[in-house]
Amino acid sequence: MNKEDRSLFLPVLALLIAIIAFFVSWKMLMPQIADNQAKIKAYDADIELAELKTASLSDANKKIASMSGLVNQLLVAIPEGVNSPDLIAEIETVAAVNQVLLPSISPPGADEQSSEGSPDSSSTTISVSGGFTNIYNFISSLENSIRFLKITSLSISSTEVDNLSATITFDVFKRPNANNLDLTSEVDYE
Amino acid sequence: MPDEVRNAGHEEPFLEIDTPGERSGSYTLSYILVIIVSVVVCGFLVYYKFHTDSLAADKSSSLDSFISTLESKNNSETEKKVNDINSAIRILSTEKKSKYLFKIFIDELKKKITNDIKLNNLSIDSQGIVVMDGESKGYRSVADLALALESSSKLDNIEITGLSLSTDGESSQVNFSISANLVDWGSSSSAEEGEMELEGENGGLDE
Repeated sequence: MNKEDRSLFLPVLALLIAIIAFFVSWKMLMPQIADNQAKIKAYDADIELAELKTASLSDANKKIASMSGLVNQLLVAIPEGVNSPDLIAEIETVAAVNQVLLPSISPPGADEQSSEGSPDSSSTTISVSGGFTNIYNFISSLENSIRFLKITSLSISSTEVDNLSATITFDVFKRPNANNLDLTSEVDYE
Repeated sequence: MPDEVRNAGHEEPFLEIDTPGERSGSYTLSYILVIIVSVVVCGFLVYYKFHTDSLAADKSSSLDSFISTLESKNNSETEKKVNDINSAIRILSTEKKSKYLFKIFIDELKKKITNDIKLNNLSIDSQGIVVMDGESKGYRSVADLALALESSSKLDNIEITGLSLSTDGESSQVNFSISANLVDWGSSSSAEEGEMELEGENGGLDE
């Protein structure tokens, strides 16, 4: 090894070390940087969704507050559960108001659902007796009841003079359970 | 700069052109540049790695904060209420379409039944099939009733399914049975005719 070679040895060695260090750091750091960048992108997307949802919830809250009467009526029309005692009390009240006798009520069972209707409905059958006008008014009251119900069959027959008996089957509805709330989706209150 | 590089420069003859010593000098300069670039790039990579680490941690804590806000009691209650409202609206808008208003049908039927007809039984089943049993003073009255029912927009397929004359002493009567189909059974047309509003303090809600 002559003098010139010796003078080049150290720079070449330093260069080699620098190049190796560069490649090693590139190989080690770039995947971590790429991983971090992907994480940041995902976090940004989630934060954007969360912001939208927060804004949407706030907006929904304001709208619910401004329409509280209507919202309450809506929630009474389609309650969370059928609740047979409440339903019986309501029917009895309607019958009393319209002056019809209520010989029988077949309230829906806890998990019973209408044979033809949606899974959110339960079928109830009632028998009433009274004059034509009273039964007519009773049917009208049922149809316009604040609790949404749908008469599915009706049978009216005359039993004696000025007295009729009617059998009415109707579906009452309940809201499905909303236990599994999706906290990442935007609230749709429209 | 390494000593060797500086020493190599001092040992080169003055004004000697194209000697190996000069080539060595330019190589050395290149080496130095490459080393500097490598060091700068490595330094930047290390800095950028730590920068992105810190940024990801910040975003993560920011997201956690948003999630905890969303999961707060107030927001959960609001979300439940919104879901309840949406469910109720969905059920109402679906079921309203198939709600048949019996009151309107009875009103229509009252208009068609004349004084010489007495209905003993009226039934409407879940398929929208109407069966009427009754009695009249003569066959003509039953035929008139069937014609009147045919003229109704709410009934079709009207059939007189039974007709019999019975006598009780001097008086006679015709017992009849008529069946028909409700035209708008299961559709929304009858529901639209009725007043389907839940009156409330804010005006009303269309079912």
